[in-house]
Amino acid sequence: MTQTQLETRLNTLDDYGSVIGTAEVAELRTLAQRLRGRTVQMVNSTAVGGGVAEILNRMVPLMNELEIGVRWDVITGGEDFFAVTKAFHNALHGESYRLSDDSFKTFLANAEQNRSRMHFDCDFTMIHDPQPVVLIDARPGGGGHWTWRCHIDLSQPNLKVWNFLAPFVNKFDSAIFSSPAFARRLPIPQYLFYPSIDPLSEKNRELDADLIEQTLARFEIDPLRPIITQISRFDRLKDPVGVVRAYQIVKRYTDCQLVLAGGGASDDPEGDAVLAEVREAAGTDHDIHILDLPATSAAEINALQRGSTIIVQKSLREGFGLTVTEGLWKKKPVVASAVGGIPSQVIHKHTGMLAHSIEGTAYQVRFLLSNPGIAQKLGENGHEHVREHFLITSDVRRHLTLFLHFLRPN
Amino acid sequence: MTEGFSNDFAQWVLGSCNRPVLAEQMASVDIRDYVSVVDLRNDLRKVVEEYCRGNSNTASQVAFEAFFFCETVEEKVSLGREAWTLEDFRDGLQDLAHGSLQFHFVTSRLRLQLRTNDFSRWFSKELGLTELARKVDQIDIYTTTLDSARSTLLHLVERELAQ
Repeated sequence: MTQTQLETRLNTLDDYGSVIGTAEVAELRTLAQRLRGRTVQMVNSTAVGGGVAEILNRMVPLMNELEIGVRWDVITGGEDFFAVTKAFHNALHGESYRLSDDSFKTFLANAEQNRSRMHFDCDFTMIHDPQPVVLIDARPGGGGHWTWRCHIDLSQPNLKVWNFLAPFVNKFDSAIFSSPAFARRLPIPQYLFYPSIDPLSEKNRELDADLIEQTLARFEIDPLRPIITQISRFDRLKDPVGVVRAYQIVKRYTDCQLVLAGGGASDDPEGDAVLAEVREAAGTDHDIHILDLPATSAAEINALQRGSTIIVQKSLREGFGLTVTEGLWKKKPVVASAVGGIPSQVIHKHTGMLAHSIEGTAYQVRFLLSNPGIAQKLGENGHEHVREHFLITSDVRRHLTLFLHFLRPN
Repeated sequence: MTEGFSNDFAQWVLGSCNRPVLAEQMASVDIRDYVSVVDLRNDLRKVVEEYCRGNSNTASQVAFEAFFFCETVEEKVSLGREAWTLEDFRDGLQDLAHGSLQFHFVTSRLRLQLRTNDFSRWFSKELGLTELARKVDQIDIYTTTLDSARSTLLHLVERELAQ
């Protein structure tokens, strides 16, 4: 177990007034007053990389500022454990995968190790995703309120894996999903919470045009030609090879560039293999920029997104797709697959364009490159959509409301 | 932000079932005409039933995607602020978060079981401003955003104060 490192430059709640209005900030303080002194424990599987870590990185300090004592713990595990959890992740997203009995043993053995290291004494415990789900068995004497926060799409899970995990999930008091379509039939109450981005973080804050230009220059990207960008871990479910194929179709019509940039998550052992596949698909095209960025590259990712003409997210499966949220927040036209939580964000022809195939992705990119006025309007609508629903402050408000709801008698 | 129809049912009927006529009919059911959820539900059902009766060939067609029924968890927390005059009210309204505006201006209609909202009721009952109450009640909550509804409301209050 490690106590995570939080971002060094932290914004206070009042800083968000310029983004969401002072009334919304005041509402958060009012809600939190009734929870003052209560304690919350967040548990997940990685401190850096991936959407969950990013959300917790901001949510924990904001809740602490509201005088709710939040502790964030990260489970530990060896390569064998994270290979199993990655396989679980893919299988829960519906991928066919053969899991041996040893996989389940590895999963349970690791949980036992973490359980013996961690302690649970908070009013509210929130276990994020399947990796630490077994920790429910460490609940002391049925105390506190335990919630399983599932960030992934469980609509078509591999049943062998789900049937293994479900008995643990059923022991929680409640579960939270990112979309009603992700939920399973469970004997416990289920809540719908959208994930969120921090508009003031290094990854999303406004940037000077000079910094954007410098970043593009550093990666030898031409700012004068259209730039199509997908920001994602190098993961097969994000279909980076499919993005290369779509770009190759667009390239027949427009002299454009493709940026595939991704950081690694410490709980993803497949990244190197996928990166090699992408490089092979790209071949010798110098207009394809494959950037394997460290997890600390928030500023670079921000600049790449802001410097892009179009943001693409061609996932085959997706939990929510916070990279889509980031693109929308930056007023960029987004072309994304209609999977997972993406349709909640990309309302077709209103906040972006949805696609269902490589060809469809290429077509929508071509359409937007040919119609910059429409592209700009989509970007503006997308920005407002994110401001209303997908900012960290809305996420904090939902959590505070839920904790109050849990405290209500009966 | 306003997009398409302002209720989930109509939006699903249009987007996932491709039934624009039924969508328009469902979108036209106005919460302001109801004092109970039961009556509202009955009329929505009636609209769907009549459509299905007249279009039996399409009634059993499978939608592009499922409709997921959800319910809202509402937690009421006092803001600790009060208005005793129309000026107090104006100042408070300017600093009201979206959640509070939704609570007092939209969902209050069914909670009160009256054909009005919290604001209009207070204008009428406590300040005797029945005309202001009526005009505020006319603000179309279906085709505007909460922010634009607030702007209209503020405009009406300012005009009342100027008289």
